[in-house]
Amino acid sequence: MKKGAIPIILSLIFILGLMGTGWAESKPIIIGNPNAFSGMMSMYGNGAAVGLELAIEEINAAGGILGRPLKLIKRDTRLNPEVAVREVKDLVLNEDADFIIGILSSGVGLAVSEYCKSAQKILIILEARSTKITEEKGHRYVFRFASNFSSRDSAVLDAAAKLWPKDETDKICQLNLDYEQGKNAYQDTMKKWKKANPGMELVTALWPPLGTSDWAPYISKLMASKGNFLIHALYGGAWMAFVKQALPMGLYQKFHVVGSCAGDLETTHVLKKGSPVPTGMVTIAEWPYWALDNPKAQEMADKIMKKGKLNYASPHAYGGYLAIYTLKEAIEKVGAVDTEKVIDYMEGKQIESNMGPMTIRACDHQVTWPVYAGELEFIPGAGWPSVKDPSLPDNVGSMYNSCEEVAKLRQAQ
Amino acid sequence: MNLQLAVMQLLNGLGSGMIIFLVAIGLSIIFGTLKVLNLAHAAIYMLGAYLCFWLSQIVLAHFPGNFWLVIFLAPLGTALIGALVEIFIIRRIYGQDLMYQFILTFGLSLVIADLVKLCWGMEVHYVPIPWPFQGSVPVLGAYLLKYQLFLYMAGTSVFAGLLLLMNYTKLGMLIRAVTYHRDMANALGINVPKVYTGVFMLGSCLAGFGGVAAAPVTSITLGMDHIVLVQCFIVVVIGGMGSITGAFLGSIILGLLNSFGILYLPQLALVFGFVLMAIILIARPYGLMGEPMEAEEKL
Repeated sequence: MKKGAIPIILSLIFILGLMGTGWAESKPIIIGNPNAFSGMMSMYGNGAAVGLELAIEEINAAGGILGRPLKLIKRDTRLNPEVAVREVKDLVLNEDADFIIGILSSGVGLAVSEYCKSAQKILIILEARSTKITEEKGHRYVFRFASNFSSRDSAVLDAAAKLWPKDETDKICQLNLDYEQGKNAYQDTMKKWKKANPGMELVTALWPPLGTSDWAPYISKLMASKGNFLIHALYGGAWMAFVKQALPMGLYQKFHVVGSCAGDLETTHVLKKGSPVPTGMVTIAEWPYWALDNPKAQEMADKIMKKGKLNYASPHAYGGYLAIYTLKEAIEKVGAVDTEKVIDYMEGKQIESNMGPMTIRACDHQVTWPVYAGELEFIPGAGWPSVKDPSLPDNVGSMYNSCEEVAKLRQAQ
Repeated sequence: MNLQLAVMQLLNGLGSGMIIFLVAIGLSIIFGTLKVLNLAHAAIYMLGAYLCFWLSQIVLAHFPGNFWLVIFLAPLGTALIGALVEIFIIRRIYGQDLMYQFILTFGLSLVIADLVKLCWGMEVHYVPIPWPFQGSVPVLGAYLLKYQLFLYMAGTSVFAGLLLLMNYTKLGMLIRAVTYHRDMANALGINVPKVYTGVFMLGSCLAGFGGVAAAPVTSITLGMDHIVLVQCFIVVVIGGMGSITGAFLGSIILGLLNSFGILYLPQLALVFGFVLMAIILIARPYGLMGEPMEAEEKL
């Protein structure tokens, strides 16, 4: 060999080696996960995180996306919009988050959505359900991989119309918490039930403040009224306290009851046989894996229960799982972690789920998540109550406000 | 509004007033004697409710009548915790600026809340209504929870018991002496630090008892302390700081106001307590039965 060849060969090896390590140490794709991880809603934050972590684990084990591993960074929003925006700013600016997935509470959702719009980062909402986020205030960068309040209202009212005769559900009472969620529920259900049961009249509307734990005065008022159909949007601990006090006072004998937000597994899984459960009330089940024909649903549920060490599998976990896999498909098809191209790919895309296909609507980026509903009962084999025989309206898409309605709302802004 | 509804709201309002009283009286006594505004008081109430859940549903789950055992055990537990808190934490801020009290006790409430989350997770827990108060009693054609009867009994017994303690026992005399003039009591040989610890334990014990009493009719969840804390403060203010009778009256008034208020003005449900507080403070600035706090004589 020539004398000067050795240093040249060594340099080439050195340079090639450097390039090689560059390939091996790929920069991870960062998923920011702001959610409620403390306080009384923390089971929802953790519920969704289980699905995200499961999907990320599987994908990383199979080599990541475009050779890059996924990394999840969780941040506690404490259900406070200011704190949430601060955390998301930190995730985007200091942690280089590529996507933001999570969010509970519509107040937090609206605030974070505004920021993600200006930062031009994709925000996928898993739990906040106000229609405002995707409709009036919707924009290019926000998506929702969950149902929204409007679809939940449609689901329970559709089930109620199927189960109970019109003359037993025409004198309605409304019980809603006195804030955005309750007000939306009231307006939406009034509009929809008037269509379903034109002979209906409102007997009384009650507005307990957020944080009410003493329900007896409200229950007494309902019992003294002439109503026969109670519509409420209570959830979580408020709903459980209400049920505990309402059952012995005879509320569920007097009224047919629908609860558009009650019966979520994060709350009901602690109820054992013998606990007060208003069997017969109509509520929702957003992923009734115990009743679906598709065996893949139960498989997925088992995976989630094992990962989270839980005795139930939350639809929020499944939503997170679907979101990650959808992003994976989008990134791989467009060939890069390019926000704009990923959005273009996702708009109008149909995604396969073990509940059938769902569409990411192009007009508002709301996924047409099927919301099942039916009577609350104990689920054999599970140990907790939910909707044993869930049903869906004939047209799942019609549960969501139409794209024309969304366009009108946005124009009015 | 008919008679049936009015009577139901009266009875329900009394019941909720009793629960508020059980929690607020501890706060009032602690503030009256120690002159410390304990923002962690509601956190101790929450701890009492969680202990009730844990002891009755897990530790003693197969013990018949376990609720009635727990109603002694849980307040004992919170009393012990109160003693530890007073000796190691609260002692350091006696006589200090009010700001220090707020910051310290507020921080303490956050710590307790997180410890509760660490021990019992973030789910909503549930305690069944105990025998023999399950079910309801018919009242004028409507149904009243039988458990409300227990609440009436518990509230009035605690009220009567505390009045007896304060006015007819030696311990009560010591407490009143220390409340009235700490330095003089000290000069007369009364062991003031011990009385302080005892009063703090009593207050914490009552908070725990309130937690146990509330557990069967409410959701046991993180954040239950915030809801109750505001109600407690309203009662302490309108009743007069340190006054037992004032707290009892104030709780009943607040309970009834909430109960009847939602019949006529449901949109204002959030503000009833604050409006009541404003009205009473304008009419009687020291609360219904309070007196101006004596300034300690500077020697």
